[in-house]
Amino acid sequence: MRRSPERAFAFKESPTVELRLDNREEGDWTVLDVVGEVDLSTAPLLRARIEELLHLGAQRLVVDLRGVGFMDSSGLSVLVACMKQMREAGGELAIACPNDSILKVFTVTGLDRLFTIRPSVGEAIRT
Amino acid sequence: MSHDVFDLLLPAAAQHLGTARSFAAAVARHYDVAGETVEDLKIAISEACVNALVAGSPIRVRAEEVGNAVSFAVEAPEGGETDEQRELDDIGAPARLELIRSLFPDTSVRTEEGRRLIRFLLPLA
Repeated sequence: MRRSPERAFAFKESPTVELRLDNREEGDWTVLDVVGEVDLSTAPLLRARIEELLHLGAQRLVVDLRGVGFMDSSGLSVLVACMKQMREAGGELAIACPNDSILKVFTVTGLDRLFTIRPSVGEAIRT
Repeated sequence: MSHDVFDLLLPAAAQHLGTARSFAAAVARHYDVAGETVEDLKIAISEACVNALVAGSPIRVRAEEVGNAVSFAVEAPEGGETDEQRELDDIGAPARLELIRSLFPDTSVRTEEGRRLIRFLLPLA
């Protein structure tokens, strides 16, 4: 068997994974719009923002993942931790997510049963 | 008969995870793999690379054509985590490995000479 030459890629600088977080109010719900990719590098930003919202008194929070193109277990871990904090404080946390590849991370880990997940913010709020 | 081998080496920093995912997706597209499978591959590679990062290791990914599949292998030192790095790793290595296995059932973990190799197969049509 002849092997073709190996192709090696080495990067000294990589584009930083970006995450944009904006929050707004819809009735008595706080909506956190998440745009970008959620992984080990950006998950701490998501956690910090949710904890800040909790500290500011948010009792009902929808995390809107419609703008998220990628999320791994680092993001899931943040959402589970924040859900726990929210429940301990007597609040609610719901997820808006229509993206199948993001939903898959919830379903294959069985954590879809822990969250209220709806395709849109409106449906998450009405649940 | 020849087969392709693709190697990626990145510094030990979480900001490079996106590049590792792009690399894996590009290899998949090279073999005309598309759609949901590429998204699954990006998740699996990200999880495997986090294992390396929490062990303080550079990201090393090797993609290699093996028969009717592409083998993706990510290397990490065994047990090299510091307390600070463990703190970064909320979900833990076993859960990440289960996630990879649920996406790619043909996943193996081999430990030898102080390093741990996570390897999984992307079937080709």
